[in-house]
Amino acid sequence: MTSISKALRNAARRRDLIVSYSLALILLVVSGLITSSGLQPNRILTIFGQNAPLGVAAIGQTFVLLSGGLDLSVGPVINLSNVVASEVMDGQNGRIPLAVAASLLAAALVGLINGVLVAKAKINPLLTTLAVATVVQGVYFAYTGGQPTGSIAPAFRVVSNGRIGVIPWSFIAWLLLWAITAFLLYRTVFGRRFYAAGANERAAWISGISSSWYIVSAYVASAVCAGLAGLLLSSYIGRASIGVGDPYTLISIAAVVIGGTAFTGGVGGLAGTFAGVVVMVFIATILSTLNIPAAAQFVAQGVVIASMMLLYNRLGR
Amino acid sequence: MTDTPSTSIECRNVTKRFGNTVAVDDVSLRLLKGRTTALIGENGAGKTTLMSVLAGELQPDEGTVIVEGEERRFRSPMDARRAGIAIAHQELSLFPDLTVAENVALVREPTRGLLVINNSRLRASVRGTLEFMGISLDLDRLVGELSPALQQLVEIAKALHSRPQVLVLDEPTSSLATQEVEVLRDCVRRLEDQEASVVFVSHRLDEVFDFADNVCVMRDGHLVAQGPLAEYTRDSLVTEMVGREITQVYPEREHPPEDRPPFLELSNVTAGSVRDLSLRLSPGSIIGIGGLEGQGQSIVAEVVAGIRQPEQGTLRVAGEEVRLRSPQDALRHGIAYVPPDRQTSGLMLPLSITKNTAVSALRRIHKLGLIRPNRERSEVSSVADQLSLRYERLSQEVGELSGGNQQKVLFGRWLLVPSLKLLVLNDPTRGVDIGARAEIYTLLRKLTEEDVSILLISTDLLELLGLADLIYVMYEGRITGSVPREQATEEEIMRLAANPDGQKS
Amino acid sequence: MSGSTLHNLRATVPIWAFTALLILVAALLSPPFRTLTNVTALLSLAAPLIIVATGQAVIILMAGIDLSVGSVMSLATALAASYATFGGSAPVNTILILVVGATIGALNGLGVIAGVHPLIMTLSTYIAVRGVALFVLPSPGGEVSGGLLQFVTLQVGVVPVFFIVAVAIAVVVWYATAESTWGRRLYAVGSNATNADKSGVNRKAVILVGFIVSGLLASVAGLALVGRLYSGDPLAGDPYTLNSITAVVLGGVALTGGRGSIIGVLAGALLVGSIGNVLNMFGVSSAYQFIATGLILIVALYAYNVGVFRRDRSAASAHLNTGGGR
Repeated sequence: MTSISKALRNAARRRDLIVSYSLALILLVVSGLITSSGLQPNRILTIFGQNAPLGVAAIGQTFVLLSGGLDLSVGPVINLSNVVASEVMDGQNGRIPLAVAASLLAAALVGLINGVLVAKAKINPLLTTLAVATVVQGVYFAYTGGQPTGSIAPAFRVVSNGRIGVIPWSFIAWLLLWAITAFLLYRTVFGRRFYAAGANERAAWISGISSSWYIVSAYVASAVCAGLAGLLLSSYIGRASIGVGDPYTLISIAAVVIGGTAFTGGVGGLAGTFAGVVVMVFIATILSTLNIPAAAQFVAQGVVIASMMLLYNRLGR
Repeated sequence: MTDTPSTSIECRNVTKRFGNTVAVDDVSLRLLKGRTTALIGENGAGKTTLMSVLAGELQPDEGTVIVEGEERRFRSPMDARRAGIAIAHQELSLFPDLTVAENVALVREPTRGLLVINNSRLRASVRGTLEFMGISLDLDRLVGELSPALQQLVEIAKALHSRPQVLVLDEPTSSLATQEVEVLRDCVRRLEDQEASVVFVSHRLDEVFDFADNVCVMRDGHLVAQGPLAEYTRDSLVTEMVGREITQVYPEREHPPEDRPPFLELSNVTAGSVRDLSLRLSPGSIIGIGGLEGQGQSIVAEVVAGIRQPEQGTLRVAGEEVRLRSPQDALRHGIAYVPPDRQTSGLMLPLSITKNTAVSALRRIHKLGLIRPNRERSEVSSVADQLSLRYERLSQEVGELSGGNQQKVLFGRWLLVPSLKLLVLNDPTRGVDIGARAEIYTLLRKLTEEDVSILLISTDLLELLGLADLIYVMYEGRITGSVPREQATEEEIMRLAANPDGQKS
Repeated sequence: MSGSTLHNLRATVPIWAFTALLILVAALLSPPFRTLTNVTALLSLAAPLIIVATGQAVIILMAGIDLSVGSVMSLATALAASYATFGGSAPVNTILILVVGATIGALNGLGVIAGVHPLIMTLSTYIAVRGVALFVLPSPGGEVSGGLLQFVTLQVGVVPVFFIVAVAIAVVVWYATAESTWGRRLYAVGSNATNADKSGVNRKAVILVGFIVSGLLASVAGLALVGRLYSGDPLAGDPYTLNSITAVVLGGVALTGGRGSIIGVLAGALLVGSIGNVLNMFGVSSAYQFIATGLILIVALYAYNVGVFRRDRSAASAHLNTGGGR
């Protein structure tokens, strides 16, 4: 109990968390007010369930930003995971474990490549992940010829359709992932070393940490999370759909940044990211409820990101 | 020089704070035309901060600068430049990818029309400045390819280029050999003849007596003495600088070092500019490496710390030959490193004091890989007390601490590692105030009594003389001599450091 | 010419040699590559990239980055294809497009000056401007004014006029960055922003002008793109963001800033444009082209890193005395 109250007290000192969660709450409430039965738990939980892929992808992206980098390959990895899952599962329940494993393995491989290029070859993360993203896109385009085959097994669709009580499975998956990664980051030696390496790779190295491997792990984590997001999306749409993951790249970065994680590294964390995801999701929800065209959503997102950054600057974070 | 010189520029009641630290406290001083004033004081006394205010790089929190009788507020370095003040910085303000001429003339380029640079006039004007200085340099060399000494000369040329009425030289000789210092002195004389005022910031007392007519002594942000140099002796200046008995700052050794086999031995090591270097370090002793800046001392430190691999030569730790491929390797042998640039290579600035201090001892503090916050906090807290660390909360960001306290955190990190046998320190007290320094020196003494060895690299001669049992002096990557404590004097060290023709080994 | 300009120019020899070699080899091995039609296609392909890469180079030279260029290009094509609503006539429409580009650049510049990291600031603009482009022109098409279309598709024999315009822009901007007072300050800020401040450089002015130039050039590149599309497309500019950065990096401008020459970027842009063209010649499908482009960038970055690393190493040991590191 005392550690939770201490955590809350520390959180209260984090003005960026106060700002991001306040904004998230306001948007959530507003989205409820402008539609009938808007504030019913069922509706809100459904929205969270539908947006679990973004939540999961943003968790991975948080690791990368904490390491001082950026992962622009999230979208293509989601697509890759979706295509692989679809192909391997081929509509058969019995092949679900194999498909899940294949998806995550493919994602992890991409993450490893990103990580090694950034941390060992010391190539700029923006360009590395962008280049790798391009290659991954080429790979699944070439493999599927633009027409992906296979489909998602019916049993797997429970993940997106099913609930425990009122809570969607996908939301539970998201929360579970948050809990596991939070434990890893905040309660283990690994997490301490990871933060140190992200805050200042050289200083951490001089302190005796193999900081480059921690940087690699960030990119692997991000890719695996993107793979997971791809699986959740696959469950939702039931088949392979090239390009389904494309919007997730920028929005995941936006969510993490709005949540207060700076990409100078070492600053911020998963709690802020959750708020950031809520902000992005409910902006879109509000705009679509008001029948504002998708184009305006982009403008709103861009404005929000820039404004939050200026605000955080003022706050000294 | 006129007999009754008039005032060219004056600081009145200047105060400058950084957060909770008062770097410059109510300082008033006066510069005279045609005279050179020495501004001396230890690391962290506030000299550079005061000069930054004068040169328009910082805004004072209180007080004003008075130029020719008029009160002025400099909003930018350009403002100060236009008022005739120029500064040659201690931390060079040069650009490695631009040439000598381009660096010297930056922001004052002659133009054809409004925007296009007139290269021939630029080169002619830079040549003029170099002639006035009495040096000659290849105008088209990229500054990044020059030696530290030549870079320092370019920095001075850049300040001179605006033909200032007030020239501030901040530690201008830290990389210069004897002949180059003489050239600079002649240049300063010429400036005095032109009625310019020169400020000579240094902690090389020999040069101070050579260059300056007047002196101002700073300590802990205060101006503690001011007047003609003739009224002071070297000892009285040191007393003013240090403010207490020198033995209070540099603690005496209680037990003389015994003669034991060395803990660390470098044999014929070649790495970068370091050539064929050999040295040895006895357990429980403090070995200093001195000399001008940029002579390879850092490379030696990095080789010992496992940051850099030697191209040739061997390292022996406790008699055993080792290859240190990383700081982790070095730590396994009990060797730890405190880098000179604490903010870029030492500390994780956005992280807390606790996290920074505990980072190298995580495995020991947190069994089974799970964080035990209470144990961590209590260990860090006790180390912080040992170091007299001044902080608000242990969870405070390390970036908010003063320079001295930040440095203490770096020391604290290694105090939590029980297997520590050798601490490599590179410029450990730069920008650290006198109080914190005394505390750090006491800590170092205590460590040596616990049989920890210290390799101390420093440009602060007083520090080396006060602490080291043996001082190696380097020049151009080689050791020019080694001086045991009993024979060590400032003259002897400077002779080995700045007389290149003497002692190439 | 100033000393550093000569140094930077000399450093562009390898990339020019490589580009020339690639084009030569392609011409020798592939008859379709040699045809006049293909030459025109290649030059027409390269024109927008040269222009947008020049703007990107200005930003990267000052150690920043501009992710919004792709969206600005798209918006330019969208506005051109809606000229009736925006301007009514070719000249007004064109001026409007240029003003919009410069304004977006100014917004980026102001955000960066206010303390937002260039990557995040231009990322926000990238997203917001994309929205504006989609709003102006929800799907590809629209109607471009006849006058504008005539101009952007003009050819002098085999050579598209806009290619000449692109090269001219690159040369003019190169000269400005290499030999003007603004350019000198640009390199200084990119090399070491703190030292630039100490030396009296007006950092804010340099940043603002730089981003305005980049936004403006992205607009012009969009107009060049209209010459290829013959219509508007709210997403057509997307690949140009990565491609412009690739062209700049291949052209020898370090991402850390302060080093390199826009003449090199011209070669880089020609190289990137040629690769696409060459791959088409060899019948490589677009999927494999993606793979090839990505791999080429990775290899180029690795090679530059290893080379740059070595250069930084020696510069570090001759080093700039930072008063502590020796």
